[in-house]
Amino acid sequence: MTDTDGMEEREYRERLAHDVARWQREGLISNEQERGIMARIGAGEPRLVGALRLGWLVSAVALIGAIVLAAGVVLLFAANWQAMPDGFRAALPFLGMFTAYGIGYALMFRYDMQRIGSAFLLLGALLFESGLFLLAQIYNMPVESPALWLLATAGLLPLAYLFESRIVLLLAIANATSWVIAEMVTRYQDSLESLSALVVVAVFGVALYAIGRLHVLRTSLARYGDVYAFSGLLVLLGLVYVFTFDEPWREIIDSSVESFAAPRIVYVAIGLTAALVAAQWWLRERSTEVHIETAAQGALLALAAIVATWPAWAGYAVLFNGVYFAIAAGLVTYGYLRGDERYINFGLTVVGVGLLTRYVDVFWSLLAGSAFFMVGGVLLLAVAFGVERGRRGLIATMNDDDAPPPAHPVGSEVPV
Amino acid sequence: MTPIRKLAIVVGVQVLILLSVLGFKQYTIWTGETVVLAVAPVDPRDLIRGDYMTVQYDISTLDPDKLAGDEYPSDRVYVELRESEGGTWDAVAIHDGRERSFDDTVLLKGDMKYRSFRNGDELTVDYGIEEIFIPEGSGSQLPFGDGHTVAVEVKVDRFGNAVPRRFLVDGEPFELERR
Repeated sequence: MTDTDGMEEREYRERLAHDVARWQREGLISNEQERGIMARIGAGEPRLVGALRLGWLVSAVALIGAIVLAAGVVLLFAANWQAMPDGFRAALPFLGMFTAYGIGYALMFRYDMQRIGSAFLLLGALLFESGLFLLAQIYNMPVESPALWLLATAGLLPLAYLFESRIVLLLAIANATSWVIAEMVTRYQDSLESLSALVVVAVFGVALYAIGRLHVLRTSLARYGDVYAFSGLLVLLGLVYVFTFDEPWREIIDSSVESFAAPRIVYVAIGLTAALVAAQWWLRERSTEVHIETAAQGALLALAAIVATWPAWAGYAVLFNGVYFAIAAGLVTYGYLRGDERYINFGLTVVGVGLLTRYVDVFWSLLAGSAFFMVGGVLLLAVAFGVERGRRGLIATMNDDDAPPPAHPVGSEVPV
Repeated sequence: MTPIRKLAIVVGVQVLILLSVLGFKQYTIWTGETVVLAVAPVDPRDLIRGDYMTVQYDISTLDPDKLAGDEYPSDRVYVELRESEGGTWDAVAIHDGRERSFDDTVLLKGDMKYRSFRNGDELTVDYGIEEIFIPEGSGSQLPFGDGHTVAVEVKVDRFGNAVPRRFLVDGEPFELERR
């Protein structure tokens, strides 16, 4: 058995140990069946079962440890920054990176400790990024400089792909999103164009989603597909959420933003994203699901173009509330069709946040403080009851024999 | 590809990126001309990177009627600076490209942010050197408005790129201390 085979076998057993426990809790299998399955994979004794199930805890603790350590190192440097000579300051990011990557490599490939090794690679990535910003500080570069976010993304992507790290990919995507936001804000700061330029951020969300779908087409890249798709949805929903309020549209109307005043970059972004959406549609196997998904992306891009071109309309807030809840409904439906609980939970969370926001928006000024919270609490409990009933119903349907085969096992981990 | 090669690629790319930032700015410091720009302050706080001071230079707002060069410059501008008798550098011309109207001058690259006609014709230019990092809690040490002249020593390379180096008070280097 090769190292890779051994690694895959271990990962499979750990995943199975979690899934079996979940199936038992949900009443799908009995205690005896759970024990039988675990014995079949060599974990007959309770302590072995525990060891298999503690793998995620090791990963979680190691990742948190890496993030906390990186924060501590940055704070230590920051606290003593002025006292250090320039040469030493410039060398520090390199030293930190080399040390973290060296330890991570040794743990992963010499001592076969994948989880801790991955955490050290993440630590190296965080030290690279903080080093980039610390170097910029030495030279008094502007704090909002978009170039730094772009450079951080460029440095993190090779690590994410070559070492198959989804958490580093998530970090790279977060940097890329920050770059787009910083670029739009600095380029169109304090100008009427800045409001239209925000549309580019939403378009970037659609682009990330399409990139995710393109990744799924290649077996070697498929594991990154969900990271892009979920990140894209978060970015898109974040901006759509902002657009569900009246205030941005009132501000646009009050600022006398004219039609056809959007900067060219908005249309370039929409055009490039449309090409990505078309590419994923062209390359994927044709099905009703793919057509609907592509049509939804196309509709969002068309809406982005309309909003950028004719931004001054008070009715957009209502329209974007519709878009917000339509995306949420789409996520739940998609999760149901694919047998993927993550999309269902995500969609229902989006619905919950949307309903809570509208409740606060509408009733905060209408009800007295105590009545606001009491009515809100009762409504939330009722919504939670309804959502949980619906959710359980959907999940139960997924487990029926005649349900479509799940693309991702129910209860599989969040894609990071 | 072996894991060690993969790691070499990752580290190589990241080191290259860090060195590019370092090299780009260090080039300006090594090859640049030293100019001194008079400032007036604004003082916010950046939670991520400690304290910094946002300064407005005397050359941040320009009256194009008093300058040589292009009357209606585009977004990217090159402001021509010449040393005054007081030791600070003043704008004498503004250009669309890297050209000069006078001898013994330095070109500083900037981005035109606004053109206002409220108080006569006025251009607001951003040079990318308006934020200067200072030791924590030291912002109040600079003696603005006490009859002193506060300025920033800046290195400007032949492409117009600039790196602020230190504060000067009445022409002398002023060390800010952490509090």
